[in-house]
Amino acid sequence: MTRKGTAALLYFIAALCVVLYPTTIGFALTIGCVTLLTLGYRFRVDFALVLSGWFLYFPLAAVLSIFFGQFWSFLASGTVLVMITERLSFQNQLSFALESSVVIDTEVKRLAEEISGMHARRLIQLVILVTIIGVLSALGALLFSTVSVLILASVLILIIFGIYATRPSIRGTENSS
Amino acid sequence: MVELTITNDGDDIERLVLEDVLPPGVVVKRGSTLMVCVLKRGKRATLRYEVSLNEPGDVHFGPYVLRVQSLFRLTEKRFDLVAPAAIKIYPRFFSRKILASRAKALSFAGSAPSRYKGGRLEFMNIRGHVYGDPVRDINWKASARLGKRLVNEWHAERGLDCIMIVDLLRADIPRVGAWSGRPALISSSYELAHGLIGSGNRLGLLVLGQTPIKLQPGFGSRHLRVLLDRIVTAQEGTVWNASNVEEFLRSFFRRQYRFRGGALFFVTTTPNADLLNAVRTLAAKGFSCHTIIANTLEDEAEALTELRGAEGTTLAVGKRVARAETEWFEKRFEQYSKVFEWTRNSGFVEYGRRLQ
Repeated sequence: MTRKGTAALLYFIAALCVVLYPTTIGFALTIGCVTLLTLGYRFRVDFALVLSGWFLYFPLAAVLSIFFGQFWSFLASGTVLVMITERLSFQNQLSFALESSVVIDTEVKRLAEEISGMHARRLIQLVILVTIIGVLSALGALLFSTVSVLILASVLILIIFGIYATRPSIRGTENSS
Repeated sequence: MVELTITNDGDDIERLVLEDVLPPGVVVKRGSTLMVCVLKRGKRATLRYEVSLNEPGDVHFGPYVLRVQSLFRLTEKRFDLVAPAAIKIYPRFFSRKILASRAKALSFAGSAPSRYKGGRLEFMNIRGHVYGDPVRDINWKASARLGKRLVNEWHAERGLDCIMIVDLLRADIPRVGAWSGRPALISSSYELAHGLIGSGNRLGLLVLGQTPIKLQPGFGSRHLRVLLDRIVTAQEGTVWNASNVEEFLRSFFRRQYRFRGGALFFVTTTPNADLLNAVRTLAAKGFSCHTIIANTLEDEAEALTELRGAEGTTLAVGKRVARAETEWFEKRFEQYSKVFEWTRNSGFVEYGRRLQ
């Protein structure tokens, strides 16, 4: 999906939230999301794009809670929005590299496609991991107290982020030239 | 075309962002200055882009930023590195040979004998040696053949000792967006230098601006090239202005100042009161002054139209006002100097002739 397509998806979700969750707070948060998304997309500001996802977190969770339980709604809302905004900010950066009407050589395009594919695959892996943790947490909540399950889920998420954040590539860069 | 290649000798890099920092005045024509890629161990990646350099000058490429990130940008290491490269952008050459060409409007040039001895422009004759003739003039081959000492005779060098004063003061160079009057100023200075040297004159240089650039009068294509280099690399600034010209003449161009034998050529894009005052003072002290005004009004109007800064009637009125201002100054300059207007298409035109 292109940058434009991803942004359109977020606009679509925002429109859905306005229709299915017609409350004052929902409307205000959606307007905030759309404003930030438009600004972030137009002026290529990553921070605004990420923040637009945060604004939509509650309205989307409220919409999803019509169909699913509250636990799954909030989890799904967070996961979907993190995924979309991360992808959007990534495509934002990539678009700088590919913005020229005539790319000088195919190498840049090939490299961009390579990293884009890798990013998409890693996002899917992340979603699968979050789902597994969610399922395990739900099962744990049946057997143990809710607080201990929340602590366990948080620790697991931190470990996952830790794994992604400290790739060996970062450690070896002193040798790069 | 700019190419920046990086090689990874370390571990695999998941997300590498390479961004080249462009020097001012450089516009990217094709490609991008930013590259995002995965760079595995031992692999290399090249950032390529084409730039357009419209403004003559000395452009230095140097710093670039390398960001090694995790795929989701949760961690990042930034490296500010330097890959030095320099490009000199010259004005368009209209002839490789030195010819008077379009500067023939300056008809006085090349008609007067130089005040200084040592000119060896044209060989005249061979004659017998007399006491006092310099040893370097002895024709050794002819002397050996005829058995008596003979010397070469040369034409006296003809030409003036001219000093070209280029006004690169920031305030005097018109700017509209990315467009600037600097290329026109450099082109007109070069064309003038080309014409003067081509007519057999010695030409010196003084550039006003950030750092004063001074060059003693000389002739020949090598001197012209040095002169062009100095003009191209000169920086605009606010430090040295027309009021300092006399001081420079006195301290650096001593002989020319003492004899008042040469001519001064002031080259500017924007005639102004400071310059007028300098011309007036120097003309009163016996210098033969010439003012060259590089007319950039048409280019400026085009740049304004492109930027939508002014259109239609506003633009026409603006052009008329600017034209009137230039003509007012030309009239004042004419009282103390010969005034020439330079345009890219028609070269140098003398003020009085244009009015007729």
